[in-house]
Amino acid sequence: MSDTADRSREEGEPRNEQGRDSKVSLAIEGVTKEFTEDDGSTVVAVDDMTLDVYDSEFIVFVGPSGCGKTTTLRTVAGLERPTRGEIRIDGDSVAGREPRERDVAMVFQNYALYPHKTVRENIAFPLVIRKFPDDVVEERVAETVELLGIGELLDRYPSDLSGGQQQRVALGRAIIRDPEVFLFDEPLSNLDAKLRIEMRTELNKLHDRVGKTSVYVTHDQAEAMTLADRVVVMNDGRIQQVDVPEVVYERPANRFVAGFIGEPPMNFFDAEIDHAEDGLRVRTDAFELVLSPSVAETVAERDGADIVEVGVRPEAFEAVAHVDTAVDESRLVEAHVTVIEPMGSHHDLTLRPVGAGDDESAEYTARVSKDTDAVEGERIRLAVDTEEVHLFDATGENVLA
Amino acid sequence: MSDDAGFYYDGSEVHSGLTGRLSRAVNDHIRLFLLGPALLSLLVVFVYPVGVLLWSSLRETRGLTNEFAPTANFARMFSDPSFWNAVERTLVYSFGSLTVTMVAGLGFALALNKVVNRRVRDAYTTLILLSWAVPLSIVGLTWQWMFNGQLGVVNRILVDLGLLSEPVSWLGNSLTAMAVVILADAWSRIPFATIVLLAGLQSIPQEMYDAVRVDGATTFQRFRHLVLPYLRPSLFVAGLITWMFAFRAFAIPFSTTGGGPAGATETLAIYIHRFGVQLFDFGFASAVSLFLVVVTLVVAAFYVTRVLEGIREIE
Amino acid sequence: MDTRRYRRRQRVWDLLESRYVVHVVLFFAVLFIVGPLLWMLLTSLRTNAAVYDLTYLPSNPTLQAYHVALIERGFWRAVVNSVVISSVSTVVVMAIGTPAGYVFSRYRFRFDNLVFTFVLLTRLFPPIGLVTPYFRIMSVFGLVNTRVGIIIANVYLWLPLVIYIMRNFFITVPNALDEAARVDGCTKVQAFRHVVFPVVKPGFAAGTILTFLYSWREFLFAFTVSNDLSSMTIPVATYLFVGDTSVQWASMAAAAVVATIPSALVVLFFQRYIVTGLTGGGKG
Repeated sequence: MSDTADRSREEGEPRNEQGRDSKVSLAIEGVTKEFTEDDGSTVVAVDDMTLDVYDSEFIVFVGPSGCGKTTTLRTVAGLERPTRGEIRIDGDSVAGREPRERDVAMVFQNYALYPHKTVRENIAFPLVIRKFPDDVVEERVAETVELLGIGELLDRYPSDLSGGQQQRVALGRAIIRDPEVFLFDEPLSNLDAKLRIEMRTELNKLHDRVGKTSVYVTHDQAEAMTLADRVVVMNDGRIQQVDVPEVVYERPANRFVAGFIGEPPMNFFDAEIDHAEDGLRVRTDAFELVLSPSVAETVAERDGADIVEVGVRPEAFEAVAHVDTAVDESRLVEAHVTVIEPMGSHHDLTLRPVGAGDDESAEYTARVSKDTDAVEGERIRLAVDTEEVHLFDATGENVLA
Repeated sequence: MSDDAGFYYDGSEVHSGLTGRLSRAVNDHIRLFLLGPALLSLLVVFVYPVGVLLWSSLRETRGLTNEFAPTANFARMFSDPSFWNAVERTLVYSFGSLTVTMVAGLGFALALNKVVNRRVRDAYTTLILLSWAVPLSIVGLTWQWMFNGQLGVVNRILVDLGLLSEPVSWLGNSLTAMAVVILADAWSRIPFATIVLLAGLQSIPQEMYDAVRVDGATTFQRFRHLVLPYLRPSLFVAGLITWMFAFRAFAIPFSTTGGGPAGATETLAIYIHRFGVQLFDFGFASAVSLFLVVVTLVVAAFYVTRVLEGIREIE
Repeated sequence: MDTRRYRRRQRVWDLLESRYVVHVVLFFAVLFIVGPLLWMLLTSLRTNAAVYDLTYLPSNPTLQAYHVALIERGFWRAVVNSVVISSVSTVVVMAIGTPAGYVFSRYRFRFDNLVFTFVLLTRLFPPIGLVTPYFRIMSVFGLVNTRVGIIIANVYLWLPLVIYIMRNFFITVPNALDEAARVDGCTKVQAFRHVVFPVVKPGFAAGTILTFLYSWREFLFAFTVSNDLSSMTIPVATYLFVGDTSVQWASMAAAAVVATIPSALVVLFFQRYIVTGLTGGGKG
């Protein structure tokens, strides 16, 4: 996840909890949304959700499908009515207001361009329907089109456009309104991989320029990490964690976030913990590690924390040959290499603990330098970065976060 | 239409005024506003007549009597051999038409599907559609005229070809009369079956044909294992609708033979019309109508189940 | 399978599938469909006396039979009736049925499936069952021998069909389009008018053409409600020749041709729409 860590940010942007004095632009308060199924049963899509989104902030909702992120967005837009709770935009409750009466604009997953209107008519539509005078409409269309670089497409129809162009038109239709809040519902999911990354960068630039409060829904964690000022990780209709991308990655609040954020996903091992003199001894079927005294201290502070699982990201492993300094026995792991997947800049190894025999379910993943001379079927020695080990208690909470 | 109310031209909201409130009310009760007229109309033009139908079926209206006798018409119907004869004729008629329609429709559709050039195919389709668009009474009159004993073109051709030694009175014989009305009925329904089956054929992806060819299937195997399974829903829809509409057919047999000779082609619909409209025996006609309705709706239930399943797939 | 037998059989199939066979089949198909119509046309070009000449082609083609049917018998009025009744019925049915189809394609409401099933059953209900009630109701309300009476019957006959067909067309328009329009500033009615309806226009055209043709073809109710020149339709008028003591075959054929020409023209010009309408209506 180096692109996250290295990403430079302009100074003064609200990134952290402290120092944020800008106003709340969008407030979601105790919102619950229940749906009634055909058989009469009730499904809770969003469960008692509360969140403040600050002015000009870019918030990304991420989670697996069915986690309630899109429902939340649609509730904000006014396309769904919350079962309980309240939504405030720019301080005013919007309960009972139609989508058109809320100051929001939305970009849809399939763009939802009007096929019978030209690009120009599509972009102008939000103003035309609001009866803006023609000259104002013309001027704003020109500005918007220039911002997005789609001036030459104005007289074409959506069916003549490529996916990326359609995406830009959809953006234009949202931008021209100059709304209080932008809503994005998985807007890049229909683009091919290369274009998706291009558009991601462009969205980033666009947000820097337009600087409007944005709520963005995606299931793609790379989009979440690269776009977000703050990431909201959701599962089962509940918020799992809200924080800046780095924190969500480095200190996931619980086992769900730990497993969801990061690619390849974090490895989890059932663990037993002993307090030893040299620190905290973690014993699993795959390895035995000694964690630093500071970790032990943190655990001790959490009195009675019953640690049952340990999580290690694939990136936290390193082949021993490439560790410069002599490796401390206490963080050494030995395993059989079952599969090597060369990824170009590095190798992904599928490993099986030495004592595991034929048990495939015991396998885990490590991401190591491409210079590692690993051989399929042979043993390998790896070192674990013990600063990047996560401990989870029986309820799935991260003890160290 | 008041629905343009809602914004001032600077984009700010209109919150007051009669038009604003009206448009608000329409917006909040959109389903009622859009669906109401249709449901109200159906109430007047359908539910009310159905009520009259049910009520009449419970009254005896023969001759000068007109009294409440809830079972009289049904008892009479089930014990009257003329009713059962009409049922029998209607079954022969409807299944006869179904068979001819489906065989011809499938043949036409398979042939049309082989025409590669789209414009040529469209031209054929247009010509085949023509008989569907002919007014139903004209269908009957056309076939009556073609099979006329003295002057009919069919007799002329057959005599000229030496297949008949003298003209045949096609519509004067109960067996051949039934054959002619069935043919006339099918003539009018074949285009619909062709169109539906052709659409079914065209829904088969080209790669399926390629796959079957790579697997080495013969033409017959291809038809049996690829075309037929894909076509099954279309065959079901086309067949069911064709049969249902043939079962209730009135205009075509009525205008071809008037039900004759001696009632040999009198379908249930003509039977109902005779009692209800010509003899003013509303009670009996209503009872027979209800019989036809029940039979149709039982068959229709299959269809509706299918459609509702379709809805579930869409969701 | 043994290869030789396979080859021999396959050769028979290949022959069946060849271009020539396909076009021969289609030639006979077209002959079967168009032949009767041609024969009516040829008959209509004779005089009423000349139908007794047993020739295939009229020896002295004349429009006299048309004169007898349209002018002498006054059936031009039936043509006018047909045009008025079919057009008004189509406008009414489309105006009421289109919004209803839209609601069924979009909104969930209490008993929605029940209401939709009711519409489907209305469509499948055999109209002959309602002929007797209609005959009586029309008498009670003085609608016998009126165009309005026939139009009301047409609303019953085609409204459920149109609701169903239009629903099928609306389903093909993604819901996100309405939603985008509403977020962009439309009321629900505006979203329908400015966005969904324009997109579904070809389907609307198909529904309109189909309803017009169905109304034009209709015989049962038109015949039951009216056999008076002031209101009867041209298919009914044509049928009335048969009731005469001696049928004027050529004039009957002339009236039949007049009754068929509008349908045929609609088919020639709007074949595509009719095909989408028929398959859309039979879908599911």
